Amino acid sequence: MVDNRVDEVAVLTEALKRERADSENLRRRHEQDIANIRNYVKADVIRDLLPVIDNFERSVKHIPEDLKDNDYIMGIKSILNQFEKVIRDLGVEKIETIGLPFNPSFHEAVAMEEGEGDHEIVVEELQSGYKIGDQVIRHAIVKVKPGNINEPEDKLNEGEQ
Amino acid sequence: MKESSNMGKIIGIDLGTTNSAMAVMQAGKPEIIANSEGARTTPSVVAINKNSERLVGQVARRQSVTNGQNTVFEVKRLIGRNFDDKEVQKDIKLMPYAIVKSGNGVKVTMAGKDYSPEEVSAMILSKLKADAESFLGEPVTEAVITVPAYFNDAQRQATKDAGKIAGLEVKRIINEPTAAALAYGLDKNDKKDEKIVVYDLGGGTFDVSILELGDGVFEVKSTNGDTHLGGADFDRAIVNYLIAQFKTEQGIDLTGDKTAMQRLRDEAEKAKIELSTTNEVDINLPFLTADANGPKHFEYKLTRAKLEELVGDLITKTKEPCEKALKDAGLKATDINSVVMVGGMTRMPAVQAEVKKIFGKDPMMGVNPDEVVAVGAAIQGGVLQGDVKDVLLLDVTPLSLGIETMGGVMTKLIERNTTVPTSKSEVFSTAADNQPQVEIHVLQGEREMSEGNKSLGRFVLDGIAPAPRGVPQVEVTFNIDANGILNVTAKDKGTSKEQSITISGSGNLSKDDVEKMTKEAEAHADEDKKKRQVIDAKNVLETAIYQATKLVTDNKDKVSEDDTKLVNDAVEVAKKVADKTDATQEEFEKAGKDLSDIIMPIGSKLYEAGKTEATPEGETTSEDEPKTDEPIEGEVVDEDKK
Repeated sequence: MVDNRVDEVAVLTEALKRERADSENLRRRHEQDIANIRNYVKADVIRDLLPVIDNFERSVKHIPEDLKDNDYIMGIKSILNQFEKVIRDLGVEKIETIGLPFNPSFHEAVAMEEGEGDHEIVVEELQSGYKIGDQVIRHAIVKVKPGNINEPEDKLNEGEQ
Repeated sequence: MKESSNMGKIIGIDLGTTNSAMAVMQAGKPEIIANSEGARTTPSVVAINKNSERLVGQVARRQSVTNGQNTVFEVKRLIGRNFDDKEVQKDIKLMPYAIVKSGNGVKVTMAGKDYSPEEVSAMILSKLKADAESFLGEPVTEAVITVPAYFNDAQRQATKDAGKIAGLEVKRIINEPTAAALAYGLDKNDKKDEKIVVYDLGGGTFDVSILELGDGVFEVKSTNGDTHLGGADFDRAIVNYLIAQFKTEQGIDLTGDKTAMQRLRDEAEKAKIELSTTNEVDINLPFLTADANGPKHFEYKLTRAKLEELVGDLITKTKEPCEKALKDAGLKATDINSVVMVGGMTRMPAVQAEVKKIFGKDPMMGVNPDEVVAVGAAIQGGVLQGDVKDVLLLDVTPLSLGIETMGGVMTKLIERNTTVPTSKSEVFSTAADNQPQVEIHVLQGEREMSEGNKSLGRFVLDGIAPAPRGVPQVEVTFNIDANGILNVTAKDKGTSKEQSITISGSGNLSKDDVEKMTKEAEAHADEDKKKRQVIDAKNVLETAIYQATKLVTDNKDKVSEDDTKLVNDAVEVAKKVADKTDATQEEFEKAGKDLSDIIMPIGSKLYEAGKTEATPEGETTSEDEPKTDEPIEGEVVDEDKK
């Protein structure tokens, strides 16, 4: 009888300790989550907006020659600049790509080209990537080619041709 | 309880072919553990790069194109197998990485070194372990890992060894379908010999299992499936269709254009997901590519019907394995009691419809199908740990508890489904000047008005010192102990006088009662809300009448006779409306507004005059209109929230 009680107390104490630890941990993480949630929400919203910027960028790349200096087109271009500024003001940066060593933490490779060298270098950006601080919102989609880091970038391109 | 002497948690791991997930019991509930990148699943991909760094998960996948020979995926297909197995021979042809013979078994090559499938799986498990540790803030040393039901002893042992290499003591290897059934609590079913189908259509594989539950233990009666059928095939079917569509429209073949293909794949996957909840999605890809004539755009409306046509044969492919599994188990579709869905593809309505057609039963979909196996593994971990729930059963209040306030409104203090023991206090006040006592009417239920709810008891707190309405502070405290016994105390903060009542029956409602009361509340929600709004409007009007009367009586010498008459007349009109039993919300609101329109200029006059001398009751005189968000007498002045 007494033994049972002792056992029971041990079991319950153990259970209580674990429960306390659980709620302590939950509280801690809850606080962290609250702190993070602003950035998460921001990143989520921006991620959904990025395709619009992508397409804006694409449209600007495709302006027909004879319209390049058209005032209307200039206006559209400045809307893109405005959009990019808004994003920058929100703390969002473009991920740098071309000429840098390939880094899968920031870059997603969709193609590997033939080449010589000990390092993998990003040679083309297919879709821009964005980050807030070190938090990646969207990875940059890139083409990679073996090369040497010390070589200047233009030499790399020469090798390609 | 020896196993629990170590305070660390046993985590549940779904070590999948394409993706892995993990969960843990937290305060008696399973919770998915996000990885260090914040994702709830981790690709089962491992790579070693040129700098001899080991990469696991999403990051390994992103570099696979640059490093295909040293990036190992779907290693689960190899674990515990012999080199001569048909599966292995097939994979040797399919996989971009090298699979070599080692004894009877196999090894894979990364960066010039051979690794056993156990070692590669261990690399995935190590990442999961490390991420779980940072998530939980404590070391993780024990795990439950799931495997397909058809895994043989060698494959199970190899999975266990993988855990060991990763520094995890594998407390148990359980079958994936069993884990899924556990996640739905099907082991708690009273029915004898319950037959359960688990339909698992994942990223790259399809498995169907038939389980039989006896004495809380699941027995696998049969399994079947298709090792190369999954979500990836569905995506491919959509992309191929879109490519063909674009070719017909523009005459351009997109297959060689990496950027365009990437955009198409992303869009196809998004469309597939969206079409589970909508009937039509707009695929909109401006500047998808360009030719000599300029940029080309792609716009296409993909309907659910079209999608179902595109993947129809893939869905039909799952039928035969299901029928075979039934046959092997010696069962007919009508023998099946429950169907559990696993894998992201089971979100697709057409898949659910097919499953219903095969088994004649609506499949269970409540738990996220990508996470259900990990959740079940965590539940098993909790059981092995001797989870708290076994000794300490925490109850919840089945219905809300509160008191009746002005106008017959129920004011809730404790919301339904609050875990007990708990307590909550709020401060209330009187509804009339010099009110000597308040009645505390304790109610249980979800209806807005007290009359629709169950009365648990009532008591009176008297001896309240004479004071204008709204001034006395009566603190009402609800306290429910672990046994569900409710104690309600009302205390006059002015005199410290208190009264209380203890109600023991509040938790004794039968499940049916609770359901009935909840249903009733839902059914009457709109009607109750209307009633409540009428009463709120009436309370606002009464407050305005009170303040108007007080304004002229308190300031007899300052308000002109004309103004006094004006106010008194207006009050009379308002009172008539307030006394009407069948007045509408709009009538009350209009009367309230009319009255305040009359008082406002008089109030401002007084306020202007009062600037030179101190007003005795500034609050009343500066009152320009009764605002709805003010504490109405008899309503809550919540101190606890702050």
